[in-house]
Parts: sequence; structure tokens; C-alpha cells
Amino acid sequence: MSRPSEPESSSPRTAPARVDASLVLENVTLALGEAAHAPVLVRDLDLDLRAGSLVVLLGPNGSGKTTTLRLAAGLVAPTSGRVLLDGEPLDRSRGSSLRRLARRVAYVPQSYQSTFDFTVRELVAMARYPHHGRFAAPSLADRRQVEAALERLELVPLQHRIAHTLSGGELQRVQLARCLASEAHVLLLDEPTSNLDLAHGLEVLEVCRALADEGRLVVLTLHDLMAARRFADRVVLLQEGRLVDDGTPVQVLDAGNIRRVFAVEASELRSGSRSAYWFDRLQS
Amino acid sequence: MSPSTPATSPRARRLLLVTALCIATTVAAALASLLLGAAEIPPATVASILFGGAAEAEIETAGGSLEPEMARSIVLQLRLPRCLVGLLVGAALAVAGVLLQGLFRNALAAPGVVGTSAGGALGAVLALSFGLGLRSSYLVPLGAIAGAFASLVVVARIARHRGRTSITDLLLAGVALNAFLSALNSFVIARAWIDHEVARRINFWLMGGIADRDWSHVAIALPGCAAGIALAIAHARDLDLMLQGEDLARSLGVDGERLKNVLLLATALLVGSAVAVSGVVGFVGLVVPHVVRLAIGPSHRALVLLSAVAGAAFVLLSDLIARTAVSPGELQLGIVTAFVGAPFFVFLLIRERGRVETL
Repeated sequence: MSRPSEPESSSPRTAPARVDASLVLENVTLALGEAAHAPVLVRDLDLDLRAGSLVVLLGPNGSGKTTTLRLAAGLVAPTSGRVLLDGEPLDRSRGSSLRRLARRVAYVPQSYQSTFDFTVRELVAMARYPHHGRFAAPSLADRRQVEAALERLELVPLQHRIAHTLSGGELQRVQLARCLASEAHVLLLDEPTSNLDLAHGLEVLEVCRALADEGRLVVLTLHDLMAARRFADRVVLLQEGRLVDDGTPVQVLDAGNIRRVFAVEASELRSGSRSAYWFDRLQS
Repeated sequence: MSPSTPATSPRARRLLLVTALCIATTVAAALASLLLGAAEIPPATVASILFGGAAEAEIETAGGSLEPEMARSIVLQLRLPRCLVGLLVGAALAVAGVLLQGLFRNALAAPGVVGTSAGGALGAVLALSFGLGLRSSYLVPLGAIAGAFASLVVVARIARHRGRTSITDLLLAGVALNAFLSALNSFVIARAWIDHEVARRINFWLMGGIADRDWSHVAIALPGCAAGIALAIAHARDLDLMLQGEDLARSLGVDGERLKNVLLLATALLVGSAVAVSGVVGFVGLVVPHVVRLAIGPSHRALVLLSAVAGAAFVLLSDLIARTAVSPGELQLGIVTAFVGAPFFVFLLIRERGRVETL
């Protein structure tokens, strides 16, 4: 496709690096309801996440991965403890503070269903809504961000397509483009590779890796230990709402932790600098 | 040309065309409603009356059978308020339809379908039957707004389950509420505490129409319509975000609970104000948003604005048909809109049926 040369301002690198960005969970607990025996989704969780890294939350179903992301995104308030963004507690009390938060933290839910026939471009442009006033029209800068995000994720040819005609991989790229267009420096993605085939899953993870390398904080939940091992700077292992281990992929993903948390026996297979796991279910 | 320039998007191009078409139709319908009527007044005379440029002696009337003062009165006291009430009612009902369809995430939601109009009517009937309408003309629309709001809260409670509204639940809740409220209306009207003449007038008004409306009706409808449309425009983008799911909307800065309350209030203001001056005019809120969405897409900023314009045109055109179809008599406006709207509703129902499974 022939295109006129673009000005510098719409180069694909959309968010300025913020080395000081941080997301901290301090002794966070989330229980469903007030009762003494209310189910606890996350218990006494401490996390200190820094910009420029790709963090993967791992754990079996029901271990609290999604809840941890939703706490970090300010979608739910902890029962006790605090969530701090750049050193300040998340303020979800008023509309204006929600909008301010939306400019700094982008969130991608695990399942996504758009109602009515919004196009790809319209969906990506929604990331700019928190940036302008209720009655204001999108500015040139808003439009540039949307263009840059569409280009970076190779969505330009699809930009006028209706969202529900897209494949799962294309829709996941739309979600990433929306995060990018928001200029948020913290990206929280809930199982971005679920429902994707191998190539599309790798593509999404490569984009996440690049976004972290540019200085953003990227937090993912995954089920794929090998992908975590390969792409993450840091792995947070959860079980039944508690932190089991937190460190580099090599430290955390050892056979002992995997046996304890996932109830499988992992054998590591090495070939040069690459490694893979072979899993066998533990006989009970 | 670069394929990524927004101006080249098919929707953006169509938006201009549809906007021009809607405005042109509305202007034409408004002109027609000012020019046409039982009394034949030449267009030039209507223009000179409207713009006040001509002295009374210069007003020419057809066949000389109409006094100049009479012509002036017909245009300024009958046709102009009727036209303005039609504009307001059409815009209000269409925007209310947009908001309801967004709130319930369902293209079949509309004021007449989910009982909002019936609730508004009951509120107005109660206000009239207790003689509140005599004390202040604003108590009737207030009653209608309160009734519309209450019916909305009820239907939202019944039909929404885990953030989604199934078409079946919505329609069943709407049918049940409509029937219940209509029965209540009949009950109130049939009671002995209302004067027979008042009851007859209430019944006639309930059928829906904008005949014989004067400036007081414009004044009654205007505040609620203006406030409702302003709220709708201010929250149009939030509604776009809500349609992507509540978690996603919240992560993009929308307080979902607050938004729902604001939109319910806006819908009640719009439907209540429309019902207070025109009774129950059906299907405007169903047909107009749907057609406009098909033409320009679901982005709510444009959808709200254009639906307001298109709704005004739809009501004015329907009113023209109502005035001229059985001349010299008049049909009720509600009959005309139902005649167009009911088949369209069935068409939508059949079309949506194939889609439910994918939701």
C-alpha cells in the first residue's frame, strides 16, 4: 500500500517512557461480602510492580489472577489494604478521578462482547474519550494516536470492519491497539492469548514484550508456562488467592513450585539456550 | 488518498449525507405544516406573518374570505405552536428511544414498548384527575415525568439480569407493564370523581396527537425536552463505552451506576414531557433510532443528534398525513405513527430473531 510520508508525531511509538511509573499492592485482601466466612478471592497480597517490565500472573483456575488485575485496574476496591499507582492510592470516588485513572491505566478483559455494530476504528478511538471533555470533538492529536495504534498493530486494512466480523486474533489486536491509543503507561491484560492459535498468540506476546521494552508496565495473566518463561521479566505465582512465589521466570517456575501449585510433574527439556517443559499429571 | 484518513471512512461520508437529508426533510416538513391547513393562506402571506414584516392591511387571503387578523391568528396561534410541539415531541421520543436501546443493549427497546409512555400517561392522568392540572400547568408534565421514571425503574429491575437484557424478558416485562398501566389508566378515568367531559378529553388525549396545541404546550414540553437531550448528548460517549461491557467502561472512566441513573432520568424527562403534551404517540422511539443507526452506525454522539432531527421530521410528516388523509376531518397522530411503526416493529423482531443466538 503506498502511503504519503508521515510526520514524526505519528510514529508508532506512542507513549513516552515513564521510568518512575509503579503499581503497588499493599497487603491487599478482597472478600465477597462482610460475613466472617465470606469467600476470599485474594488474601494479604503484596506486589511492587515497576515500569519497563513484563509481569505474568500465573496460577490455576480460581487462584485470583483476574481478581488481582481487576484490583490493580481499580475496577474493584480491596476489602483491606491499598493499591497505589505512582505512589498515590487509587481514587475511584468521582467521575473525574475515574477519567484520570483511565488515562494512566489500560485494561483488557478476558472476554469481550461489543453491542451494536461499532467499527474497529471507532473501538480504538474510544481510548481517547477520557482525554477530552464531554462536548469536545476529538483533536488532531487524538486522531494521530488512533492512527499510530492502528498502524502499529496492522489494523489499517481492517479499520472500517464491524468488530463482530473479526476473528479472535484480530479482535485481540484491536484491544491492544486501544490500550496503545490510550497512552496509558500501565497495561493490564487478562489472558490476552486465550482463544488464539500459536502464531497469533506469539504475535500478541511479542507486542506486549515490545511495549514493556519501551518503558511501560505490562501485566498479563496466562496459562502457558512456557510463554511466561520466554517473555516475562517477572512471574507472580498465585494459589487460592495467595502469593506463592514472585521472581524471575527461572526462579519461580521450578519443578517444586509447579508440582505444588498446578499438581503436575514438570520435566525441563533443554536445547542450547532454549528450554521447554514436559508435564505429567501427578497421580493422587 | 490515504486509506486511514477519517474523512474517507464510509460512515463519515454517509454521516454528512444523512445529516443533510435529515435537516432538509425536517425543514420541509416544518414549512409544510405551517403552510397547509383547512384555511387556505398563501405562502407569501404566511411568510409575512411569521417574520412580521408586513402590516396587517397587506396580508392577502385567498378569496378574501379570511380576515387578516384571523389569518395571523391561525398561523401564529394554531399552526406555529402545533409545528413546534411536533418538533419537540418527535425529537424527545426519538432520543428517548436511543437511550433506552443503549441502556438495555437492545434494538427493540422503546418508550412505547417497555411501558415508559404508559407510565408517563398514568402520571399525567393522575395529575389531571386530581385537578392538579388546574393549579399549575407544570404539574401535569411533572406527573408524567414521575410516572415515566417509575415505569423505567420497574422494567429495568425485571428485565435486566446480570447486566444483560434478553429480548424475551424485555418484551414480556414491557407487555405486562403496558397492560397493567393501561388498566390503571382506565380505572382512574372511569372513576366517578372525574367530570364526564374531563374523562372524554383525557381519553382523546391518550390516543396521541398534537392537534389544537397552543403556546402553553410548547412551554410545558420545552424544558424537559431540552434538559433530556442535553443530558443525552453529554453522556453519549459514556453510552458507547457501556456497550463494550461494564468493566471496560469503568476502565475507560465511566461510573456505570451513575450513568444508568442519569440516563433513566433523561429518558423520563423526555418521555414525560412528550406524553404531557401529545399523549401516547407510539413507535417514534423504536423506528427512528433504528433507521438512523443503520445509516450512520452506533456512535451515540451522532446518533442522538440525528435521531432528534429525524424524529422531529417523522412526527411532523405523520402529522401532515393525519391532517390531510381524511380531510376535512383529522386522524389521530398516534394512529399514523402506529400504522407505519407496527409493521416495522414486526420486521425488526424477525430480523433480531436470527441474531439472538449470537449475543
